[in-house]
Amino acid sequence: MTRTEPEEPVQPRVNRRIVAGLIVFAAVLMAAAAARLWIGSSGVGWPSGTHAGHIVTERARLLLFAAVVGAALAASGVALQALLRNPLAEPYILGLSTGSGLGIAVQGFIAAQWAVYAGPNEAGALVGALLTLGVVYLASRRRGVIDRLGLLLTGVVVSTLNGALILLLNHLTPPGMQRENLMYWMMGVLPSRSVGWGDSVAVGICAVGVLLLFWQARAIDIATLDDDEAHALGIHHGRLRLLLLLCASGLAASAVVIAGPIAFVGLICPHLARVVLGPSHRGLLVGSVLLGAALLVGASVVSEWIAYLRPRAGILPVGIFTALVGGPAFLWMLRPKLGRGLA
Amino acid sequence: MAGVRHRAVVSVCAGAIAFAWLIAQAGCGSSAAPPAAGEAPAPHPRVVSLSPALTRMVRDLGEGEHLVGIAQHDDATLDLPVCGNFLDPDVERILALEPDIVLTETAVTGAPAVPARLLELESAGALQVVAVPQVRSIADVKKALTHPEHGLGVLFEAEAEAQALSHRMDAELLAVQQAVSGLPRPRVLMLLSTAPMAGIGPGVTHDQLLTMAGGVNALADAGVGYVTLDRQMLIERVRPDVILLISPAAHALTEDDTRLRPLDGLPIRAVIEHRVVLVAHPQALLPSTSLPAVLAEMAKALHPNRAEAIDLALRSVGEAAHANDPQAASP
Repeated sequence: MTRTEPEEPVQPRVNRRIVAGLIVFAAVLMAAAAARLWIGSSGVGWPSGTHAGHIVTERARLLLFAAVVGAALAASGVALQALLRNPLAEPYILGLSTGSGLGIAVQGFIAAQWAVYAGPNEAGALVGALLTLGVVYLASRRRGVIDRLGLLLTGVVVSTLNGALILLLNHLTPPGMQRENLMYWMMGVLPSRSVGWGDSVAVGICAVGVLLLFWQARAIDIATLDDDEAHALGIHHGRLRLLLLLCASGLAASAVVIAGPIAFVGLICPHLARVVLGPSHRGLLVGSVLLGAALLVGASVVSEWIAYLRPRAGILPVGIFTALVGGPAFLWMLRPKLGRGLA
Repeated sequence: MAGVRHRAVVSVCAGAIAFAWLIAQAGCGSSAAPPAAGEAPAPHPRVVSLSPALTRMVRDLGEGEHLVGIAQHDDATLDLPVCGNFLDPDVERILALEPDIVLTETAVTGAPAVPARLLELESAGALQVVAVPQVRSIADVKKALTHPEHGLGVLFEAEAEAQALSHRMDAELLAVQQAVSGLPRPRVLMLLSTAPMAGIGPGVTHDQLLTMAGGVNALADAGVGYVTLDRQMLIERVRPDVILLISPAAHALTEDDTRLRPLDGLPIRAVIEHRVVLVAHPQALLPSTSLPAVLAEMAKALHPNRAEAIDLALRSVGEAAHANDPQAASP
């Protein structure tokens, strides 16, 4: 008579919640994108005049940079939080942002000392991020497998070391364009350039990274269990950790190369998505990607709107807004846990 | 079922992003084109300047009416739209102003000091980027005005005015030098800030100006243009007679000024004799046609008893310039 199994009615309800959540996130992203096309530093509304076409392209270009960078950072945050089993993990915990900054600081130092062009920022940032990743990876392996704690600690140490080297080079570089360039880049700025081959490569890496994570989402879910249980269910920890590290690093490095270090997106979006969609990594990944893109596009809208209202301020770096919004939002989300901790 | 829905959502998102990316890759739409790269600018060009130094020169050249946009750190009194800076120009605002020319300086490599995006818009015929050779010294200022190919005189078809402005600059610099010639030359420390103590060494414009103003750079043997100092170095090695705090548009120094605290109690002549002087000309750090005025302020700070003679010398140069050419611009 009653043949109902306890899991049956639960499963569709959870899925409906995920789908509804994803639709809401997608709608938020679409609204932010529409606002970005509508609002620019030259005015609010659809552009007109001789260069209307160029202005629309300009808005679309910055919209895409923001969406891709936000999505990449959020996906990277999901992967790193799963890899390190640490909810406070964020894309730059492995020292990639300071590594990229160090690459640009070296370029600036060379340019200032010998008056030669040491390549575009993106090249320095990419080389710095890759070298840092190599050091962190090699130093965090134990018996051929990435050690979580080792990875975390190595990342923190390498990041501190990179930071010290940046300060040293900054001190040795005379005041001028190179120093300003580094400081400006460190704020997290959507770039004033058209979509180049480097950006296309970065977007390709982001797409591959997100798809790989999506493909491995079930394995990541299982890997969140106890190591022995996960192993018994067929999870190869060594391979999965390496895949997560490569995906997280590739996504974060692509974002940093495009727009510099932008704080909090990779930390807050997975948390917010987890609250709405639950812990399953398929929904979590897609939701985080949508939220990350929406957050950064939204930051770009605010930045442009302020530039329109207060032209003297210039276009404020989007990294400032993500930190301003992300910091308090993260504290608000942590509030119940902090309360428990204090009790 | 859930997997299919997820895949559908991912596919739709990926498709939307790929479509939008392709649109952006397609580049700069099809707008009507002002002068293409390489073509001569319009006779009355609309100009956006991304260099405060060049903005000042354009205005002193009497061509300020052509400016339709300026840089973020340009003269705050100018009532013109601000278009970012050369590191991060506000491309949308620049396009909305429909300029014929975007004025900038070259970088150390000789390439225009603007992001590639503006150069691409130039290739698309939306505007023309004019890069004046980098302005870092008095000679550079004169070159930026009178260069036969890339000078502002050529750009605005005002070669004679540019030459006149260059000559007037020379005359004013010389007048100040003559007004303080023969006086004792104090040992001077030029500071950009007191916390941290950032001093100006040899090889930069202000070192050149200091010599003209009748002083000796206390950091002449530093080997680099900008030096970070501490109190011990000031006592043991620098030992200035006068400290010039060069801080554009800064408030006047007061008795208990926080800017002077890092120097408190130092046993050096400049502090003991209260000879820490502020050079607050709004363009004090701008290598431009305003340099003679900055030189005059520095010379008056070093030789206050010659202040009247300096003013008189500059006034006579101005009067002579107007007598020779009533059209001459007055900086």
